[in-house]
Amino acid sequence: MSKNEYLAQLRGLMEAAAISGIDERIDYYSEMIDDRIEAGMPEELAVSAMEDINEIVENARLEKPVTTLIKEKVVNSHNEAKKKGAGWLWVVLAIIGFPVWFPIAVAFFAILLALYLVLWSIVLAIFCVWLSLGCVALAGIAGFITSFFGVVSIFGGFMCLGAALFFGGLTVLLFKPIITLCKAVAGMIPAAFKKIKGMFA
Amino acid sequence: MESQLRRGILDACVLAVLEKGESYGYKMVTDISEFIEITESTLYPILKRLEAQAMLSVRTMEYNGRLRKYYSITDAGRDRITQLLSEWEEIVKVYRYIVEERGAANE
Repeated sequence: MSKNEYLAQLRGLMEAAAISGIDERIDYYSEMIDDRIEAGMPEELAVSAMEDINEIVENARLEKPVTTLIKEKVVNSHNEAKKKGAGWLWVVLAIIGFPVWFPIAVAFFAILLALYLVLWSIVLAIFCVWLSLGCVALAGIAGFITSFFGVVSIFGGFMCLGAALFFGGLTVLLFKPIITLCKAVAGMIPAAFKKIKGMFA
Repeated sequence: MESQLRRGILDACVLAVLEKGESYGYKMVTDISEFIEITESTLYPILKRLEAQAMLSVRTMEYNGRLRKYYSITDAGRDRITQLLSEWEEIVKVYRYIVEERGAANE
């Protein structure tokens, strides 16, 4: 692919994604390619060494905060309605529809908050399950010790010791998988919110 | 690496590169890439943000018959590096504490 083709594709995708400051961005990437060529790369190689166009556009979309993205969506929607000569209708619908769209917007953000809390709760729950296994092992040891003082029978004491060994082993065995699982779920949180942000971009 | 931490480190890297002298986009990407992974699309918003915060200044100059943007650090940028370094000292202290505690727990 030539430099011009690369930049034309990039511009097209940026325009389709309504990215701001496209000319400045194109100048920036054009300069990057020119510098590669001056460093001794043939044009095609310089272009292929550049980042994937879709990735550039996706990163540009996610530069803005969610509030700005939502504001832009609303302004764009109003401008489009204006172009079609229905700007007044857009305003009237926005006012009349307030009792409908406002609770929906509030509910949407409440769902986001709930999702955030749920994901962290899963991490906490997984950890608590693992911790409870360790507690059972400790309780088993305590049961075994108390059997020497006649609180439980010797038979019961050995049962407690067996349970303690089993659950203690399980606790040790599950340590690494639990940590990995907790990390995986915790890692999902920023990824999930990036996806949600992408919905407004 | 956690994204907030990575962002802070990349800001510091860009400012540190510029503290050595004026530079341009491609050179910054190649210089910083020696230490941490950075792409053109990652660098762009960092430059824009630092410029908006007046931590660097930009000038466009003609170079080999085309225009190239040169970035240089400002006093606010230098202050930011000092601030980041002092914050980093605190992080290193915490890091050492964690390593020591872990070592003691494993003994």
